[in-house]
Amino acid sequence: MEIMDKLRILADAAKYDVACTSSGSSRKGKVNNHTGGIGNTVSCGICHTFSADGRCVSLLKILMTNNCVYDCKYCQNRKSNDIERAQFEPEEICRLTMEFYRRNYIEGLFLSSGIIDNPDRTMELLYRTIFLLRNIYKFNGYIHVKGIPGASEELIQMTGFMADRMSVNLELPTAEGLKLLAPNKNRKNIVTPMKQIQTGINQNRYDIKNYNNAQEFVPAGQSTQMIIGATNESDYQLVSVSEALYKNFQMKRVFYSAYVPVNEDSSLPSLDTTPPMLREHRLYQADFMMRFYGFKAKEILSEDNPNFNVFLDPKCDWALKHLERYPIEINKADYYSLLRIPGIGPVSAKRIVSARKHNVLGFDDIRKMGVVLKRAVYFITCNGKMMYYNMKMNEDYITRQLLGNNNPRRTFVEENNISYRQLSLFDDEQVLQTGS
Amino acid sequence: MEQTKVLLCENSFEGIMSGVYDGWIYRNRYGRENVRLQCSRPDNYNLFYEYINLNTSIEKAVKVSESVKKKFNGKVFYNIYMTTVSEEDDKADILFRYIQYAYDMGDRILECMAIPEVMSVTKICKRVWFEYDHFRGFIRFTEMNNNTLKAKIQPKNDILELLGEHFKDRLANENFLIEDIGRKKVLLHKKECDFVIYNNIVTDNGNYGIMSDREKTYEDLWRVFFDTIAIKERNNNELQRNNLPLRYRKYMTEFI
Ligand code: SF4
Repeated sequence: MEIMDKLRILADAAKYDVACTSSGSSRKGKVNNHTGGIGNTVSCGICHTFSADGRCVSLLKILMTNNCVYDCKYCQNRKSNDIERAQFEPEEICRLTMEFYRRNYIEGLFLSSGIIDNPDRTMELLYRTIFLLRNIYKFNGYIHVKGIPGASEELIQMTGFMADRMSVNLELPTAEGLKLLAPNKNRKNIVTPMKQIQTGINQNRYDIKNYNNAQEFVPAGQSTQMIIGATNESDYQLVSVSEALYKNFQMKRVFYSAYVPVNEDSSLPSLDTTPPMLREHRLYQADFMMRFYGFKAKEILSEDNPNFNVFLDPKCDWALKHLERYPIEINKADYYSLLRIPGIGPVSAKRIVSARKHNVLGFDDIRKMGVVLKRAVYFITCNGKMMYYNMKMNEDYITRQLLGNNNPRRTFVEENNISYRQLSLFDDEQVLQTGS
Repeated sequence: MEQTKVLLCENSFEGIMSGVYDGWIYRNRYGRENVRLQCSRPDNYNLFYEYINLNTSIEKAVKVSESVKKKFNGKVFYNIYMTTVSEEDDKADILFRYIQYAYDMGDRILECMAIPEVMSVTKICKRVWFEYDHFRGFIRFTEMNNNTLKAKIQPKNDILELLGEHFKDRLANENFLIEDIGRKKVLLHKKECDFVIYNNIVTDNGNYGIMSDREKTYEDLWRVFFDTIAIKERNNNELQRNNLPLRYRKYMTEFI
């Protein structure tokens, strides 16, 4: 089979994997260490292009093979599907990576695979490819490789010493979901390598501090991903799972992938279901709040209020539920309180904290620092004053303002005279249908 | 009232830094408010201004840079450098004032956004960094038959040197050249050496040399990968355009 066809088939088979970032690792080019070779990594990652769906492309994202012996119901590569199959030779992957890298198409390689015979054989092939790439082709750029659940500890360990990032897919948020849709997988097999990689990373930090020539183990950390909308968890369940992943496994990132129906199956959403993009978007917002704003999952959602508000982002939603805490005084509030103000992010919050040491800040000053006043005005005072006199601190009024003009969601709210408290009764489809 | 002196310096890092050195002498004589530094030729000459041409002195430029590096947090020098390569017309004067404030207030200048020049410099640096960051991802090399990698760019800001620093580490074992089509500058990097930048190079828009035999194959492989990796059900051209504005696509393999 031509390399062109393999690339087409195995890139297509890998496209639903979401984690294409190249961040978290910072390594100088090897020439500085006099060993020859090509490549370096930068800690913030680099996007090399954006595909037609608007997503950043940073890595050559491919499967080793889509010839999988498993039969996960949600997956286009599952055994029972009648599709074109292909498998790369390790050398082919190395050459593609090197040549793409030299031309600056990519930051590095993202290598995953369907299961060839069994987990160990699959992991061994992944390991062998990366070994070649690092040691024979002397590739020093970014490598993200999948840990295959059920593979031996030793193989995972050896791979980790050559990869920048490793990830084991959680696949589905709950063990029941997994049982239902991925009959060949089980939660324990997924969690074991996660735990192992976490332990490896922590041990490695110690080694690097204490021994001069300790090799790095997964320096860009571990990530994972789960599919959203193939099973029917509530959003509250999802954010709680994420929170646990960050806490228990020190994940660098948890990625969410809106389920795109590729297979017909009674236990799956029907083929004409649109991917739950808004839900995925809200999850990333909530994820950001947990990682950078100091929110807990149970502050964002709860048993009684288990799903995201389709009208408002979770931070605005939280603010409206806690109006009694506002307004917050810009010149006094501590960093974390500033972060709870809609329209203020980590960058502008830091700027405020450092600038107010020198001057008393007014609305104009904070606007220049990047605060989105359109959102923030309802929640702040500068030097004891609100921006406009007689501003109504009323949740219905603020909701409409926050939705912004020309927003079909606002039109929907106004035409149906919906109050803030009723918002949670609607889901996105209802709104969009009525709106159009 | 003193007549405003407009000092005209060269549009380059050295030109502006050397201009700051000379500007300082004028400032001490005529007062801060009466001296301006400018690195673009004026469109209209103002009758009430006196225009003075400055010569670039590398020595003076080095003196100013060294002093800035020694006295302040490294971020100050970084800000100055990034501003000198920006497309901002008024950058020489903004920097002249920025540096004066730095000597007045020290490192605190990094936080004093209330001063308009400090705010301008911060914004300019962000824009330059942004463009540099975009280009270090979006730039595409073509393999020529003499085993040199060749790239063309047309950035708004003069980021060639920044790109050189990035790629000399990344592609240390390669011979490569990057051509800034608009500015007629070419950066040359020889395997395992530092790079050199040549000015005023006319190359017929970079259309010279012959591609290597296998170049077309890899370009096609990349295009296939690029088209395949998008999820059709999530097509979103607007998002793609926001993330990758059309002006960057001119020399990108996957769009041509
Ligand atoms: S293991 Fe499951 S998810 Fe992975 S390729 Fe095979 S069928 Fe698809």
